[in-house]
Amino acid sequence: MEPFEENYTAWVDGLLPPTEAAAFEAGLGPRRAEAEREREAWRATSELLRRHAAAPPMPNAEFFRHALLRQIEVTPSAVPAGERRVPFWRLFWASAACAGVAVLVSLSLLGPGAGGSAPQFQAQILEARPGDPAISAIPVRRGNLTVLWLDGLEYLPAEGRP
Amino acid sequence: MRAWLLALLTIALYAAPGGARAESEVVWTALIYATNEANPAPMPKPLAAFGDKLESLLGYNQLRILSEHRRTMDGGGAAERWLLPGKPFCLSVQSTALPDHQYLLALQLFQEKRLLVKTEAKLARNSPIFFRGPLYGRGQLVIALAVE
Repeated sequence: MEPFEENYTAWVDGLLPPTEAAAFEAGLGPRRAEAEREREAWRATSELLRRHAAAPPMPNAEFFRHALLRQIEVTPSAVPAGERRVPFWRLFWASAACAGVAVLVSLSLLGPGAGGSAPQFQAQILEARPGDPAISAIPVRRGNLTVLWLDGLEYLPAEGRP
Repeated sequence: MRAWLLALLTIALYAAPGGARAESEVVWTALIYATNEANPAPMPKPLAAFGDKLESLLGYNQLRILSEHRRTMDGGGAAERWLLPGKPFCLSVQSTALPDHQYLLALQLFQEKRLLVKTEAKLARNSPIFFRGPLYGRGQLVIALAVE
């Protein structure tokens, strides 16, 4: 709370010491008359509440409390008890629908190649570094086949069967 | 509310990335001798699906498998290393499983102890990679890698 609001509240309630109250009133300046009207109105309201706030004593408090509790117990609920649970058939159909969606998602993710009829991904040569400057390595692709052509290799005679 | 939670759980179970590699896969590597013959032998079974394209791409009508190696991948993402031994060629393969039936390969092709080429490649199902090697005898040596 701001200092002014704290001082104002204490001033309205008459809690400020006389010296601080006088300083506060001097600080109000041209708004002092308005502030005093508010203080009087607040004091009148407080007095009124103080005089009439006390509730009349209830002669049979225990009886009324008991009657209220019984009324609450017998009042029917807005939602019947049987309908508060999710019925089994709704669970079943929701699960079946979700399983169907999951199958469709799986098929769309895995694609027709999942069964082995067509590849979803192609082989790929990421890097080829010849170990000899005389050798060159060039990747060539045709459809789903990838060939790395190695040129510059020495011819091997037939007698050296691999 | 419970129905929607059940639905979300169902979708999560169906669409989980792990479901893309339900069964174990085999990476096949082979050393192949390619020649042109008057009466070519049928294409070896692992290459049958790529026969025509392979013939036109390599320029040979007969392919004969000289040695081959099959490696079952566990799909756990850990790198696996093996060798395709041959004489005078040797292929060193380090393979790491990626999602969606793909494999990241680090390949080293040696002739005796001489490193010919070092390659990094992604291998995918139904999309093999071939190395067109040196001329040999009446034809050419080819190295194949495929996911079976």
